[in-house]
Amino acid sequence: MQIEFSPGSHWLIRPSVSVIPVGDGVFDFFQSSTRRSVRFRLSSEIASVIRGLDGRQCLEDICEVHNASVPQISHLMEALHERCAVEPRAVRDAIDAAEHYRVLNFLGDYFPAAELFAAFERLRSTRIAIVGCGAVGSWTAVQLAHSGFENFTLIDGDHVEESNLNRSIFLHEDIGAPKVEAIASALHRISHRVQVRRVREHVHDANGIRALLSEARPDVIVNCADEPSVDLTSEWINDYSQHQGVPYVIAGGYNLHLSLIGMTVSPGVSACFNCSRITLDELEDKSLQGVRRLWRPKRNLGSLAPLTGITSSLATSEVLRLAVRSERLRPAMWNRRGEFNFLTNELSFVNLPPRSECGCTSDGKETDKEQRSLI
Amino acid sequence: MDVYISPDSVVHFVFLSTRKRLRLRVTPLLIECLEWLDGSASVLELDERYEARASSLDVKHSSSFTSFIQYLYGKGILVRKDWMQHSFCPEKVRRYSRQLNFFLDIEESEAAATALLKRIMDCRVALIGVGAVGSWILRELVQIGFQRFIIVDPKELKLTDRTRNAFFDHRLIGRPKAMVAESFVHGQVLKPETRAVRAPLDIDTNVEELIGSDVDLIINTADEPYIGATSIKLSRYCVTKRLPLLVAGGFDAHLASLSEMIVPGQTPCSDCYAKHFEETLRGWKPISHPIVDRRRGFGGLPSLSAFAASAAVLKIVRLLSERGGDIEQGRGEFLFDQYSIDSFKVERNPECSTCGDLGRLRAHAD
Repeated sequence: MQIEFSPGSHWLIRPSVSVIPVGDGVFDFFQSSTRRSVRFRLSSEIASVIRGLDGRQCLEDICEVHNASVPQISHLMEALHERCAVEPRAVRDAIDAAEHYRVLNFLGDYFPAAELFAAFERLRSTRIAIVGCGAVGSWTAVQLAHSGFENFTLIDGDHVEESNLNRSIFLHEDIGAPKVEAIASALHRISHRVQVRRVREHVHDANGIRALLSEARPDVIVNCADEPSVDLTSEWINDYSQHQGVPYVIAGGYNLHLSLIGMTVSPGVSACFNCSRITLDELEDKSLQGVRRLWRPKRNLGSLAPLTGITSSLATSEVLRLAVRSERLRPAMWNRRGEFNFLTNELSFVNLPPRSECGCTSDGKETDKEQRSLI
Repeated sequence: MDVYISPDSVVHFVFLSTRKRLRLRVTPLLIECLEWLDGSASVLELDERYEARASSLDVKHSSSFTSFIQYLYGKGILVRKDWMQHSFCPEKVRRYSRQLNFFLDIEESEAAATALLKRIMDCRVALIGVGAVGSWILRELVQIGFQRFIIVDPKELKLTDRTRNAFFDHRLIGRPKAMVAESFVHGQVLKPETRAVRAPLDIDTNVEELIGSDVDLIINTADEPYIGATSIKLSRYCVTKRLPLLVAGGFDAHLASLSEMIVPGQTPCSDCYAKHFEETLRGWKPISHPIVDRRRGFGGLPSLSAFAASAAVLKIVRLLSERGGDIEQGRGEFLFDQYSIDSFKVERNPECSTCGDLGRLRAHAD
């Protein structure tokens, strides 16, 4: 979008930005959605212009009222626009009229007005493949559809059972239906524009998953498959991802679906799953080294819906960060994984850096691939 | 639970859901017998097998296998094979078995885990506001077994709710949100008891007339005119009735707050919070924003709504739990930038005109 800083242009302070005088002519432009801020020192004339920047008058007219210099104000608008503190009136009107105005306002903390709608369009058109449509997978799919994503491939061979209802997005009326069909119905209730490829198949091996993903050709993969184990499915998806240059998010399945937040992998940019295993092996609990684990088949493990909600919310946020494909909003789960503690409400993270001995391309050598993956 | 055995005969019991651990030094014979505890034999049969094994190995022992089982049962490490069936019908067991297993980790006994689910099923919740956070809270409460609700919201579902309301269905645009939510509850829970109220919570609303007197917990997510005003009104009502109040959503950055649980006499009330922030934010005075009507100007993501709702529901579970820890006194929010949590403690104001007397009464009673 072409943005003008000319004397005749109309600008306003973004509604979600607060301007706080902190003394000595310095003003804090505070983004309330993301709690980020930037400071500028302003002359009294320029500060007066800022106080009246409501988008109704053009820059030239406001400057005349406050005896301020038009080139100075234009220059300041360029700086404030780059830092997402101001926006042109035309962009504000477009956001107000948009169905996803809240998402646009949020992204507006990261993307200047000139780039905002293009970023949302990249999000909207991103092809998502969700492998495994259980508790975390179903929640993630629905949150993505609410966010504006419209193109999904759902891969799961299971049917909805009553025992799924206490932590998944499935409804009582879905019992007996294939999970991918039940989620497709939920997504279509949110938007009839959503397109869903339903793949009613179990994932058994690396070849199988490669074939399914090659057909789906996703831009982002979300791994929520924990059968036979999340380690195995992540290994298979990692293999596909590294060969095809497709980023993925490990959404759930670690340690019993509780509240673990998996890592995000962008081939050639961040640590891959195999890198993480090298580090995790090194970090293995020393107090349990050399011990034997008692074999206990048929375990029925604990789960709780709000913990699924937290895991899936972070997975959804990571997909959004990948989908906008910009340095302005990078994944927060590159090179780490996290855990939310039920008892203390605390989030903790383990750093999982790229490992040169892994052999993947995440050591920064292949910068062309990095650019391709990010932009 | 994972069970690890080290060469020096120490058994490590690891509660996976909570990461809690228990270490026991036991005899090699008891270690061997641990693998028998798979629910296929009765305690009596196990005891006999243990005696036979001890005899064949010519091992002397001072106590029976039964007493070892009793010890592990008391620690919440062992459960009866069909413990859920003793308290719940098959349909409830099918739906809540994994959740009951989680509760077992938290509460550490079958009886306490069972009691927690029953408290959830019996709890009468008044939910004020079915919006970006309220709708997700209700959806999760229904999932974990709550079934008695008074649902209050004055508005209808509209197109822009697509980005934030958990009950959004484009076929239902124009229907009252309270009724849409009530219909959802009826479709999902086993024994629903609900009342939908299509009305606002205003400054002059009579709270008891709005929600009735038969309520155990109030959840406030109503942010019009703003969350501070609706919370103070409800908090004052809750203090007089000694009812817990959960304030969720609606704060400034409003979609990723961790919520505040207000328990009269134990935690700060909304007036305490207001006083605290009046003092701590005294020097933080933004200029009057040039845009007068900013209602469509704030951001939000569905994933942040889900996070805030999940954090709120966890607080409710902890409130009803016997071992869920102390009720937090303070405020916190999830920051999207690096996924950090910014939280700080707020103390009760002993001079609070709303709840100060409760503290004095409590101190006197102690």
